[in-house]
Amino acid sequence: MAQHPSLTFRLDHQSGLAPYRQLVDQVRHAVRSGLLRDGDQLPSVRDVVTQITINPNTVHRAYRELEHQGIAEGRAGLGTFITSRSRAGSNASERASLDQALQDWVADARRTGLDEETIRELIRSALHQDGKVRS
Amino acid sequence: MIEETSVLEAVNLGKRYRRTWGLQDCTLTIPKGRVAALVGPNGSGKSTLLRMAAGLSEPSVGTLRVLGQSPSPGIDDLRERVGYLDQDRPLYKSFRVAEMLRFGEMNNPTWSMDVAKNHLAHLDIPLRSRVSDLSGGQQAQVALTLCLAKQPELLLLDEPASALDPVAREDLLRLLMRQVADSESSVVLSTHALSDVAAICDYVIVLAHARVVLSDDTEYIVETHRILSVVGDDDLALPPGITVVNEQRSARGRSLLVRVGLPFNDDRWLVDRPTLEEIVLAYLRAGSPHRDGRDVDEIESGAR
Amino acid sequence: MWVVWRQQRSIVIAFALLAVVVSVWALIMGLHEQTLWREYLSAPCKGEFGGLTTSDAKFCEHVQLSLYNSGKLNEVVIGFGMTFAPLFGLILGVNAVAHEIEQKTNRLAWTQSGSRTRWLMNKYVMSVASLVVILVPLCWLLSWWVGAAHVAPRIMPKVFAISGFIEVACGIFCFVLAVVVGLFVRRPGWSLAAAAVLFAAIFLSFFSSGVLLNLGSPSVAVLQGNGVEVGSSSGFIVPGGAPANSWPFSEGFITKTEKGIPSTFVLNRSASHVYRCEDARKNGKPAHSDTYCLKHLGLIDVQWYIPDSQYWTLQSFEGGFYLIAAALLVALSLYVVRRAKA
Repeated sequence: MAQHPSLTFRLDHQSGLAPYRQLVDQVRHAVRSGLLRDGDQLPSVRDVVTQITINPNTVHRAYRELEHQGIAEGRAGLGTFITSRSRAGSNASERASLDQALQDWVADARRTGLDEETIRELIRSALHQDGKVRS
Repeated sequence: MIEETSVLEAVNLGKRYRRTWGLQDCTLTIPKGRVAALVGPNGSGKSTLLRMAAGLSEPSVGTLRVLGQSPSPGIDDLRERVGYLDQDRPLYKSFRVAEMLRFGEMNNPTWSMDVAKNHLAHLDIPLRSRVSDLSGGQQAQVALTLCLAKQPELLLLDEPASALDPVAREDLLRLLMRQVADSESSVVLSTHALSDVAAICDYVIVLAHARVVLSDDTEYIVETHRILSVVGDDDLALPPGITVVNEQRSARGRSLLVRVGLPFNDDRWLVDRPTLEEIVLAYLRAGSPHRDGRDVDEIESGAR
Repeated sequence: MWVVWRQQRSIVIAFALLAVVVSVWALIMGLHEQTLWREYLSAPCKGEFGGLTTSDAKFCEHVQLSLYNSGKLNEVVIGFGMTFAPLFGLILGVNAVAHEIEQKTNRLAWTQSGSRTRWLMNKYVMSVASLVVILVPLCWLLSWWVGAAHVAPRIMPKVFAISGFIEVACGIFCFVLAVVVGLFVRRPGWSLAAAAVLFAAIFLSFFSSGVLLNLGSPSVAVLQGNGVEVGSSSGFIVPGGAPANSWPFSEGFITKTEKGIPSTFVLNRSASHVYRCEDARKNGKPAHSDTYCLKHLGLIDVQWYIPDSQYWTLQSFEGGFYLIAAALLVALSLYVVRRAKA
């Protein structure tokens, strides 16, 4: 079990992407490419803040998001670790049913006369609301 | 209120210097646990606000509460819990760094010498050097360390990143973030260049002409502002629920930075997401508080 | 407290060294002059050299010349004594507050956990302690020197100012004055100038006859003939009736029943009467003797003086004034500092 794998975060301030999202994406990419494996520990908030200039709250947020997505799990007093929980199976079926529900919803929205831009706006608002509630 | 959830609360706060107002009609609430940026050009009232919050001067008008208490110079309790770093980063020039630390220790019951020495060791600043022999960036680090080592609940930093070369600036901001990570302090820092500190701020307050024109979570700001542009058509009406922050007209068309209240649907407008800096600039250009979108300034035509 | 010491360290050490150097010099000079005076006052010279053998006269003349030469150096020590304490106090005071404000380190100090009151009180305590430690021995030495070198009666203004404990009080007052001025003026250069001018005005009003005379109780002595008192115990040769060691500050002709000191106008008028009488000539020779003139006009020739017994009373007056003024200024400064602009 590696303590501090060679994962160095990078932030791109010019991209439209929120910093916490960038961290989440970088971890996901690392897991996908095998750089991070089950049981590896993510750098502590303090270490990240030493590596790059970033608000610690942002790192907390990213790690919470990773926990929510099932990619990582926090162990009190020890840190945040890539989870060995395999949810691949259940994820696939959950995804399928979500997908179907979404397609049905879009069809309904179209039927009431909403155009694409409005639908996008509604989805964005809903995500934003959800994001606010979560943090 | 059972527990304080705000570190700074101002209501109609104002400060008068002889014939001009350094700050006026300042009403804002900065929540706990944030790294808040006070942005505005020089003379917009940032230093005035921070100095009042630090207990160095008294308001002329209005009320100010810091960590739930009044920061008046005559009242002593707050100074233990609040760290202040002045724009000039004053230090005793003839002292050695170790003596500056001793100064901090003797004057602050909550001082932690370990925190201070750790920070300085991390930055490779030798304790035996004289302050006057250090570079500007190193002096800023030492001055910041003096604030951090007393482990305050709130840090008030006046232009901490200004006049520093990029490397020194990074080092200083990281030092600050390490402290925030360790101690969960709140930070209010001022800057005239948001890009210097955008990486670390999650709350933004924009001051223009001694007034607050914007004050909110970074993410919320970014989510609720858009750039609407249209080619040519001068009379195109705005969708409802939109408040204009700043508008630029050119021969080619109009470009407006707006705050979005309701989702809208109008194909004729081109919609873009602005960066935080662009939003702040728009508010600074507009210059007066936007409550109902009436004030639109046509300052420049042409691209930015 | 340590911080205050550290901030004023170089100034205190510089002044301390200066004080030591001048003290050693004054000590050596004083001992030398003490020996000379002893030679001058004992046999064969006995304070004069009329009626001596040639070799003795030569010796006494030599002693007197040495005394004269070293007397010129006395002025240097007196000058030093009068300026050292005020300068020390002023510079220390300007460094304590005005300099901090100019450097903006007061913004650093006033945002630490302690109060501004504590900040200022620490400065007072530490600086006054430094002043006292250096000035008390210096004053003690200068007081000794005034006596040993027979510079003048200690109650005479010039040496009164540098003996006793006045300079200690002066130094403390100057420090507090510079602190208060610094709180308002906020720049060290201007504060030093303003405080120096203020202090000089106060000091000179004490130094010139005016104030002390009114505080002391003058006595009157009648002049006997030419009145030269020779060989008094302290060696001061005082022309007139005033006792040795006193400060004769005025002289004139008054009636026997006069109680107070008449105005200059009156004194001038009486004097002109007496001189007209004494100048009268009959056949080219003085018409009347001096005693006849005085008797005829009903006047006596007197000196007014402040006796040596008043020495400590007057020291307490002037010293006390400086200390009380300093205390009032301290109170003012503690009020002002809490409201001062940072």
